[in-house]
Amino acid sequence: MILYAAEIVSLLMAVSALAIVWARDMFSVVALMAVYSGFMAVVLALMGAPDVAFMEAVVGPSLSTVFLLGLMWWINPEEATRYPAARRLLALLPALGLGGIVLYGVNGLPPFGEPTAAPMEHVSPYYIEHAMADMATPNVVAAILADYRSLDTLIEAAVVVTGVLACLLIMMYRDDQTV
Amino acid sequence: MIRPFDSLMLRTTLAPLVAAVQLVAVYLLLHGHYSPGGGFVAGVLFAASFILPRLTFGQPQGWLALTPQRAALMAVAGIIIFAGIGVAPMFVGETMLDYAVLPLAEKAEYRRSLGILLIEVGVTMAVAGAMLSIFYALSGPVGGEK
Repeated sequence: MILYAAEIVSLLMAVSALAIVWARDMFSVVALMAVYSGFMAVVLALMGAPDVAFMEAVVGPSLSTVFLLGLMWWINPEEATRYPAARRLLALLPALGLGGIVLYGVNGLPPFGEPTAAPMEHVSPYYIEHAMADMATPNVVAAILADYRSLDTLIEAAVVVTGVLACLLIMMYRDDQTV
Repeated sequence: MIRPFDSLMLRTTLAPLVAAVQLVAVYLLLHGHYSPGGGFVAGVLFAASFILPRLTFGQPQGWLALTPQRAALMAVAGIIIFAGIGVAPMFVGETMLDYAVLPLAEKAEYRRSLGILLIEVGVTMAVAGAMLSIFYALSGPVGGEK
C-alpha cells in the first residue's frame, strides 16, 4: 500500500486544488490552501526530501494560514467579484495553454531518482563525497546550504528581510492610520 | 487589533505548548547538522511560538511582549551576524564565508561545522524577526505600539 502513497496523496492534492477553485468563501479558501500545503509536505517527505517537507509543513499549513487570516482584517471577506461567463472563458484559454506547456515539459524530465540525470552528475557527487571530511556535517543539505552555497543563503536571507522591511514601510504609512 | 480569545482550555494548554514549540525550534537549530532542520525552520517555529500567545491573549505582557520594533531589529541583527561572519575571513585575506579561518576549534572541519552553526543562528534570528514583523504589520498598528 505504501507503494501508492505518493500517488494517493498527489490525488488528494489535486482534489484540494480543485476545491480551492470551486470555493466561493474566502475562509474556506484559506483553510483549503492549508490542507493543500499539508498534502504537499507529505508528498515531499515521501519523495525523500525531509528538509523541504519540514519547511513546507511549518510554513504552509501554519504560518501562512495565520498571515492570510490576518489579511482578513484589511479586506472585506464577504465581498467577492464574480466575472461574467465570457470573461472567465477567455481566462480559461491561457490557463489551459500554460498547463499544457507544463505537462508537455514534464515529459522531458528524467525519471525520479535517475542516477544518470544531469543534476545528479554535476556537483552533487562532490558535495556528497566531501561534506563529512570538509565540515564534519552528516546532513549534506545543511552542509550545502550553509557552507558550499552559503553566499546564496546569505543573499536569500537578506532578500527575505529586505522584503519584510519594504512591507513594513508600506503598511506603516497608510492614510487612515496614524502611526 | 487582536482581542483576547476567552477559552480556559486554550489558556491552560498554551504555556506548555509554547515551551514545547520553542524547545523544538532550538533542537532543529542545534541538531541541523545531523537531522532535517536548520535555521529557516527554527526561525519560523520560533516566530510561531510568539504568534500563538499573541493570538490567545491579544497583548502579551512581560517576557512574551516581543515588540514590533524588537522583531524588526532582530531580523536585521540576524542578517548582520550572517554577513559579519561572512566578511570576517576577508580581513585575513581569505575568501568570503570561509569559516575555516575563524578561531573556533582545532581542526578545520570542526571550525567549519561551528561556523555553520553560527550562521544558522543568524538565519534563525533573521527569519523569526521577519515572520513576526509580517504578523505584526498584518494584525495591528506597527509603529505606535505602546
